[in-house]
Amino acid sequence: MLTRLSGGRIYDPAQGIDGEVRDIYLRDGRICPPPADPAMADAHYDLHGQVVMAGAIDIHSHVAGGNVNNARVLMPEQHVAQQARYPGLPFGGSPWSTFDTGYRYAEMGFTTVVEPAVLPINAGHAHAELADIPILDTAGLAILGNDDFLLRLLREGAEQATVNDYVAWTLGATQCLGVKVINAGGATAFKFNAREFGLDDEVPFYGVTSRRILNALQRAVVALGVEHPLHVHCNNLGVPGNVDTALRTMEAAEGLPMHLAHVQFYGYGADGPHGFSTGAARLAEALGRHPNITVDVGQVLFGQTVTISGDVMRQHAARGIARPRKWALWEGEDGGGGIVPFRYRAGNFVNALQWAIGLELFLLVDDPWRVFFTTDHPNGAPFTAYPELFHLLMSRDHRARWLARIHPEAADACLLRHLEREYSLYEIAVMTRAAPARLLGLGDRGHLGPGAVADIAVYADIEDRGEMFRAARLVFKDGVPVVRDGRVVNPVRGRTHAVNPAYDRAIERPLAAWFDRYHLQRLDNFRLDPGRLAETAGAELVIH
Amino acid sequence: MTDASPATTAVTVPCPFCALGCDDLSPHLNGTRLRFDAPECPILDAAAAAADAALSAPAGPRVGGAPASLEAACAAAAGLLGGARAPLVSGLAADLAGIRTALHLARALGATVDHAHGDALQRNLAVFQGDGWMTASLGEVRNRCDLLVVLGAGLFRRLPRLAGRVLRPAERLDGGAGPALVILDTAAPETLPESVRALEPELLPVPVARAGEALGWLRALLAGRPVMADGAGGAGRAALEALLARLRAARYPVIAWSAAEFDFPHADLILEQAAGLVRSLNGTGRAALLPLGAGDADASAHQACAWHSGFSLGTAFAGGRAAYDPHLHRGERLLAAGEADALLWLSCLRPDPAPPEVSVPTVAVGHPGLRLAAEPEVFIPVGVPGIDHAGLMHRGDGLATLGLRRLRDNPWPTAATVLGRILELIPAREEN
Repeated sequence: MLTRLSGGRIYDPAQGIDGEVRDIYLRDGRICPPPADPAMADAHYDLHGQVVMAGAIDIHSHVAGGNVNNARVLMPEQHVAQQARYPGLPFGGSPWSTFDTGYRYAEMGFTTVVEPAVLPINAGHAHAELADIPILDTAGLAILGNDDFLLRLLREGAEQATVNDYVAWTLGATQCLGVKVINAGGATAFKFNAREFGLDDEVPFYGVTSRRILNALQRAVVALGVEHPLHVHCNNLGVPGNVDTALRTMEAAEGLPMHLAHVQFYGYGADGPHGFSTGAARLAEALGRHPNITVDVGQVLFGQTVTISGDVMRQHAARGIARPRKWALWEGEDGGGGIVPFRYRAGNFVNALQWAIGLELFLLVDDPWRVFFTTDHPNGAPFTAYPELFHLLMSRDHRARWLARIHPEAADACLLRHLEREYSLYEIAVMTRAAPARLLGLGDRGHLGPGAVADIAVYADIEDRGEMFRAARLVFKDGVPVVRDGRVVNPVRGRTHAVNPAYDRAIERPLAAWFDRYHLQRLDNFRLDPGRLAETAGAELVIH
Repeated sequence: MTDASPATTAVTVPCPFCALGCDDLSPHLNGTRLRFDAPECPILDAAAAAADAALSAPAGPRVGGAPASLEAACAAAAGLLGGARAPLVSGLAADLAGIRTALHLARALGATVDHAHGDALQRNLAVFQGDGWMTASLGEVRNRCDLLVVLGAGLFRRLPRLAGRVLRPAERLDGGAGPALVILDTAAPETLPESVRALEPELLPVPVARAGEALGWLRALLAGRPVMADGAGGAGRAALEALLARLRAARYPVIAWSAAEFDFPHADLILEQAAGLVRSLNGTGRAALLPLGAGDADASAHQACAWHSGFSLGTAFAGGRAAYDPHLHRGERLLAAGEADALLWLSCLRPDPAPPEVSVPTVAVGHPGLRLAAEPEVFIPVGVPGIDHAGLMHRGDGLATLGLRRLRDNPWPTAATVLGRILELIPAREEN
């Protein structure tokens, strides 16, 4: 079937198209070249006056896995009173279910979302959950860096080639798209009762530094040709003065590709009367000097949320600020995590400055190909608050209204008043479509060229950009209309993307021995098989 | 793709029959008889025997006690459940695919969902949702715990291989030999399993019902509060002081329990004391809880219900929205109070948990040898996950998942297939 989308204004940075009126044709779930005669189309959508972009891609959003799922259960009081949003759709009356996640992302025009923290031992669970997110294509990033096998390899001075094999094996065993490192060595150090852990601190017992772990993993990702660079959650998250940690981590990358996640949480100086100040300008300036580095922001927006992190040391340190006053921490094989509910308040100096620092980063970094649109859902804010963030980025007036409402000292202590930049639709399309696809190595999406998957979002061109991006007028997933007039009409199933880089299978011998010696599972039972995942968890994997 | 050929004897396979989730079983098929080369485990032995017995005289679907085709039985189940006004979907002792399909069915029916061991689950959840907690996985206990305090010796009966697999592994990451063991229980030492006695545990004569007193006493002492009582919960001051000293000296003490051992009102208040003690110990040192449920896939049912509904079990889908209330929607209460008018019982791991003896019409989808006190209106036998078909299931600590294998040819559909067919036959309801 041939479908024609005519008359829309196209924003497709991958092809350099900036608001031109063009027709787009879809066939068999893909975008295809225009036919000789437009009348050949079997279906026709008149999109005159509307904005057309590829489906949006979220590179860092905690949407699945045990930590997320336990956070759901920790606070039933937060969503127990909500009404059904999607009557008639499967689990359309279940707030904060995987189903609700798929519906609400799709309504905003998102079609691909990456869960950035899959602990290998929890990967089976994560895939089962990802498979139950309707509409969206998904992927996971496998967490390494606190795994005892790697730490022992490094302690024993193993060759980089061995680390590479191990990382490749992990990606295949967990069916993930890339590698994430969370406070490298920090979760293990916490097991030895360390309460602080910096880039050059050594993991007790193993005697290797966080920097060494980071370097080994980064080199492995590069050597294996994994498209998505090592995805790094730095040391010292949330600690005043930690902008130095972020800058030193950038230096530690030694010119190789590295992605720094939710850098707003590392944009902190320790100056001023409150010992807390913006480090956004320093971060932005350093990014200018390090073209190998990409970042996502992890914007804070005001309201109740729950922080969910594999940085168990950080979450333990944050237990005192839990609102409501309850929190949960867990430790498991090769990692851990914590859940700390929190309410960001505009009238609180620190929270207001966190909000401002995120926006400063968005506005000071003038390359939308290297700064990514995230709230670190739900850590800075739930993804459902994205419309507000689009509005803030695209309207100086909207920012000014907020600056008059936040803690006055924070408003004075930040640069935001002086930043006049407003994101254009083209830049939004770069940041949420073209650049994420490139960063993830998913070349078949994030653009509207022939051959791309027909994941397409159509928006009304209205002045309130928040309202515009809150509810897409039309969303296609693989060429199928899934959202009309801001409402999900067809909850199709999504797929999960992964990479299985080649490796020397000799690594499996020491790994099998390691599992027999220290795990409660054997290697063969630990590894996820795509066929069995499809049969037992309903997961449809696409291996790149 | 299906896992068409049964696993060969060359592989080791995981076991779904208790919360420990051992995966070192070597299955052997001798004709239709299934045997496992594994250290002795009464739970596995019983489950394997039940699976063997089931295949020697394979049960088929029944409607009103009379043999029926699978399609007729599914249609009868759909009619019965679809015609009910307030059905209860419970049991949920199945693999994830079965549980997930049961949740879809419950959603379509506007039913309430619970698990056979829902009460035990809620006991732990009450602690988690009240104050939160700090926990360790079974693997962390295996590799790092140097002092294990067990509340209730019944835990060892529920996890027969706990001592060998977790407490005395051949090697640990920390190089140690395994934790010292303290058991709070009034059981006589000789009633402990041999594998546990071999660890030379210290038994503190504190019954589980009074464990809260002892734990509270320890918390108070740790907090530096004046404690006048000469002991608590049945243990004397000297014994408790010694235990506190050990907890403080240990590098990674862990307090473990099965919530099923605390089957009395307000038992969560006792477990809350353990959570508080661990929080306090972590002020300067390290400690954790190992809060386990009752097995029979309760961890998988809890996790799956959470991502489908946003809530744990005790959730009702009436009126098209998920409504969580573990007291109001407790399965046993609904049945006793006459507030459920039909029951779907899913239990395919073992002959137990059996459907409760109730007067409301019952559809039982379960183990071919499911223990039935009375003939249900509809009985549909299904394969046993991990023996008759592949499946995914959580280990009891909820962190790891087990990739269950198909070990033998068998005539039964999976629970997911049967429930999916029933779902197809339910007329769509607008509000759901």
